[in-house]
Amino acid sequence: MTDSTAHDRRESLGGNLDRLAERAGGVLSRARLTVRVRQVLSRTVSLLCLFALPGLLFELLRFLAGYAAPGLRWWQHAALVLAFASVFAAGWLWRDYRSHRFARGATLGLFDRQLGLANRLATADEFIAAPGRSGFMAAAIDDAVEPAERAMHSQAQPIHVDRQWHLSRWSLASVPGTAGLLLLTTWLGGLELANAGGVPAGGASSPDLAVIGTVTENPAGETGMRSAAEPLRLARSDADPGNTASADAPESEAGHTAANPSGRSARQQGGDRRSTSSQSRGMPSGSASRPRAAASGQQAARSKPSASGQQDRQAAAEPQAASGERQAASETDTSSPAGESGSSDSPGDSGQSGDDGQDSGAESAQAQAGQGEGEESESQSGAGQGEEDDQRGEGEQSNEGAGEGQRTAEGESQNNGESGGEPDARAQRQSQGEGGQPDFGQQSAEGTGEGRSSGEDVIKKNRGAAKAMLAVPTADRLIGRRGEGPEQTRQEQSPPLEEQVAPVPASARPQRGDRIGTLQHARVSGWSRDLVMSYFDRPQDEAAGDKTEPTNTNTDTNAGNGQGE
Amino acid sequence: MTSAVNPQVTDADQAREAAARFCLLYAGIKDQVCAMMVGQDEVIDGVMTALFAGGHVLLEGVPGLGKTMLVNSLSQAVGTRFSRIQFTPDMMPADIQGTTVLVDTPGGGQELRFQEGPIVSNLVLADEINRATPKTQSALLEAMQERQVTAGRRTLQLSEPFCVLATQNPVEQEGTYPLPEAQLDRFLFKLVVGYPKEEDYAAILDRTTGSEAPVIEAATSGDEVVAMRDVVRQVPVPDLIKTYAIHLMMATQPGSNYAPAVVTEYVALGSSPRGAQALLLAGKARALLNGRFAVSCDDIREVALPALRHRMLINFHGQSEGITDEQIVHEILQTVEQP
Repeated sequence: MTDSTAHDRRESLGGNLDRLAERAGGVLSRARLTVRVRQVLSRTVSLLCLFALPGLLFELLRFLAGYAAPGLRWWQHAALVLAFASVFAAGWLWRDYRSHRFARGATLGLFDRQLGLANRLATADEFIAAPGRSGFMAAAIDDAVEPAERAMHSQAQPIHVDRQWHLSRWSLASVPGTAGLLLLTTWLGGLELANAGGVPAGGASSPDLAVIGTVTENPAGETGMRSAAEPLRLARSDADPGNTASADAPESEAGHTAANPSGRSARQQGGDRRSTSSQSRGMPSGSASRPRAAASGQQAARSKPSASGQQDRQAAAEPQAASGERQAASETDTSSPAGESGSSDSPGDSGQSGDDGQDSGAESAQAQAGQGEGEESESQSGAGQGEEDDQRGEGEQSNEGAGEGQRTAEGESQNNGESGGEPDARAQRQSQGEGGQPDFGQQSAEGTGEGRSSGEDVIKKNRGAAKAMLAVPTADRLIGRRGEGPEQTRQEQSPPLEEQVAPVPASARPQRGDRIGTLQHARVSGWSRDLVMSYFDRPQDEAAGDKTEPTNTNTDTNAGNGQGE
Repeated sequence: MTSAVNPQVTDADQAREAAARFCLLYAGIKDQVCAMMVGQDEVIDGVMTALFAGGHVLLEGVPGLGKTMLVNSLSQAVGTRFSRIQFTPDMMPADIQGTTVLVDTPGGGQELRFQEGPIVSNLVLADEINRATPKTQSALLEAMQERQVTAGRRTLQLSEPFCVLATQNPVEQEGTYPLPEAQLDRFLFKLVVGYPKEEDYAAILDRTTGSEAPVIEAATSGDEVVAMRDVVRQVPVPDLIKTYAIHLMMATQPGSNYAPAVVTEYVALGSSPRGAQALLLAGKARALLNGRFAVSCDDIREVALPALRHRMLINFHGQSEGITDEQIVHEILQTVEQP
């Protein structure tokens, strides 16, 4: 073989190897693409939950921002998720395609394996580019010329790849998880729509807005005092929350809030978690309060002592209303045309408060009796002492059998005067308006001329910390404050404290030469001693019936010890 | 037979000529050995591959299978110095390496002279090597790795070709001392001598029970064997084949990236870099014997079992499960991807 011939053959071998590498690279790329598509799709399915999170975050931000525009539909969210997933998968595949290149050795190895060339092509391709070619390298290159020509006339067989879908458990769980996220997202969007619909109807879409509006309209700050006081007192009540009534009549609440400038909405908000009696007491006598009282009838029945106490409280406030405060009552009737005559929140209106207490007491009594609201409407339609007496009579009837709780509540009602058990600043203001001196409720009770009973209780409870707190108007603290809800206790694990123990040397220990002393036997007394003695003193024929003899021996020994004791 | 061999191969024609000479020499030696040995082709190929690769061989098999006769036949066929050491429990290192003895001088005096041990030879048969104590076994370490013997203040350089062919009986383990890992790692191959095939028994009986004993002639010389070793070492190894050998070696190491589950679970100690060296050296010899001028994956796979089986230490769990070295190597060959 001449040098020129060998050179020509090596040149042709290089070209053949290039073409073979290109062909094998295409086959390998297609096989890899098949495998990678499955892998990427499987991983994309497992990441579907992540693609659903932007939509959820979007709806959540919309909800928190109070944006009133309607949210996206569920299919729009699903389309977004699929679009994200498609872009992600396509990007992944494109990046993989751009970044991965098969080595020439690997591509030529495909023909080596298919044709059984024992790595001749790959070896020759490597040796061609190697500097300082040795004799064996040149021989290996020459050895690959004929196989390369043979490979040029053969087709690269497609590689059989695994076409199975290997979906992990996480991938399978991701589909329902994504569906759940979509549902949650759609629900958030719908929730926003519901809130948005409430804005024009009530003038305020949330209780917070209603509270803010109320505080703004109330110049005296009385609402703030009442509303801040009630969560403090009622959060400790064990009565069932009255959410049902609030949820059932949102519009009526809103309407009432808009019409009543006395901070009722804040009170109702706190009263969602309180007893029905609180609601019935806090609700005005107008028609807007009817659905709530009716809906809370069962709950009022469960919280019977509290309700009856409230009624008594209101009944006790009745004489106050009759004690010459008719002028204030007429003022309230004038200022609250929408049935707000019973609003106890009206500033400096004790007579009106008395009416409110009566109305509330009547409502509670009706709710307990499971009756309708006709009587209450009748009692509200009239105005005057007789009507108030009738309502008080109803309240007293409903209080029958209430027990101790009634009496306690009655005392509270007397202490609080017309406020229905709430030691608020309204009583102070009323007293100041009349006598020029704050009487902290006691004088108002005396002013009625009916300091019914338990005057000591009146004094004690009016001097409590709640009274002192409520004397300070804290309207700003009311803004945005929600019900505290039931108390929750959470146990936390505390790490163990490291203790430093000083080692005691062996030399410091006392010697053990003395006697240990008498070991004390466990003392058995009473029926257990008798039981053990009777067991071991039983007849021998019964003992012989035992299966294991060694057990009997042991028991005999124990019997001696036991008897010795 | 004694023609000078140029170990340096500069062009393709010389490479082809050297490869052809190597194959011819190999076939001549094998023919002489097969005149004595019947069957056991794999064992003979393994021993001769190790001889031309410059390694040592550990032969393991029950008594009576011709291990000692194989080594005897090979030494006669190669035409080099041969010595046999029968390892016993009371053997001392000086019995192998040599010692200083008091000899009479011609003038009537006496002097101390170093008397070489049987290790100073070309082909050394260490028969039943596991019957000697570890102290004596370790006397072979320096000779096998550094090709020299140090006794006292004297260091002897062993002449090439030097090859230790050790045998051990895996059955009678009472009174034996298993070879330490350091010594096992110095053997290029561990060949398991099995029972002959049925058709070989008749020939074995005819040759060993007849009146005429087979005569073995030297097919080559020690120098030519050394020259062929140089030729073998010049066989190039492509990078992808090196990578494959490295992956195979790392696959024996538990916890590596290429180790299959059976290795991670049942192997306590994997191969050292000597394993990869053994793969490549033996692969080069097999490449020439297979008519190629470079090592391929097939050559590596062909020598993987005898080159790796004794470099793994199976843990107690694997021993209790009956896991063998062969199973692990076959699992590795199936697991590690070829380039």
